Amino acid sequence: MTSHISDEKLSAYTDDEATVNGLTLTKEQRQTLMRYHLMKASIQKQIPSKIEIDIAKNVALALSKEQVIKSKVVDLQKNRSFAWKRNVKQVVQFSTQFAVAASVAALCIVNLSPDDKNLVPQVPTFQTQPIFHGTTPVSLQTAPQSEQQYQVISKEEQKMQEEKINRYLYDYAFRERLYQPEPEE
Amino acid sequence: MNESQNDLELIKLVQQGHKDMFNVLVEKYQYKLAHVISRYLQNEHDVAEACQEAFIKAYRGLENFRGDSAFYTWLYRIGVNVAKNFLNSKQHSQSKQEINRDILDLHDEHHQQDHHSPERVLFSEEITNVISRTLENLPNELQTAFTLREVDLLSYQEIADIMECPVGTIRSRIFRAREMIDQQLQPLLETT
Repeated sequence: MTSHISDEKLSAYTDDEATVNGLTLTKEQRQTLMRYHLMKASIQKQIPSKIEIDIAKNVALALSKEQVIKSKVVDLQKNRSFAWKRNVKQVVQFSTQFAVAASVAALCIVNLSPDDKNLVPQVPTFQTQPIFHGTTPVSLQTAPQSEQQYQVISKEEQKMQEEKINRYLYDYAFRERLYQPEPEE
Repeated sequence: MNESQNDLELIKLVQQGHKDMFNVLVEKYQYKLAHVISRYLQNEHDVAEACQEAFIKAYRGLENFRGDSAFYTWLYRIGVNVAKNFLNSKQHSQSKQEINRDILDLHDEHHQQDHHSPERVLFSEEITNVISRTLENLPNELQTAFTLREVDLLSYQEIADIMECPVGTIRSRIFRAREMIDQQLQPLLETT
């Protein structure tokens, strides 16, 4: 395999400032790369005081006895982007669920809020006397609610409601009997 | 472009069946890994042996490597575990040896002579001296660019901003500095 990698590019590759297809590296270029890495490790003091320099050679020898990895070819870059997409999907899903739940909660609050002024007593619960007109003790004064504010159900209406409930109960009992499975013989 | 991206490209090739590409990773990380292992093991031969074991374990595990962490971080963990296990097994065997010291002393001597072929050992001090000497004699612009990269770990762009010149010039200066140091380093590695 011919190589078109310049030595300058090889130097940049050592610094991770360039990409190189590993398959195109010649034996000499790999030796050069190894010395560049030795240089780097030495300057950065990431090398033991005494080191055997045949480690790579011995690993290569041991590696020749190892089986070739080919069963699980994993596209690492793709895997990362898939993981990223999966995370985004999860966030969107969660946000949607949260938005729906929040909307339902807001609707409930709006519907159940006592905005019907007829049901709310108009007189404030506590009344205090003005500063300059004596010191009458603070009292809980609630205005007597008028009878009109309460919904009074007449006897006729009560009777109608009872009849309606009875009809529902009868209908339920009838349906239950109707759909009851017959006992096996 | 960052370190892990270049490593991932190599790992992808290994996972596709290009076993030899793993050696490029070995050549890159052998010194750093040896440095980590040397914190646990003092003897350079033990360090080399543990290094070899760690790399082979990493190769075997590469099948399941998903790239969630950087390759070196992963290799570092394997290296530390191997070193600790190595240390434990060594201590165990040493205590055994102490029991039969009288019998084994002579045998060990012969055993070492027979099996331990003289490995090529390099002293980091020698390398550092060669680098320092060459660096001192480099033209100023090469010396600055190289030092900013290797000592201060700046990117080419950052160096270009500091030295007020194009990135291409920095790339060329760093390469020239490296090439000159390499010329001085090669004889040392050949004679070792």
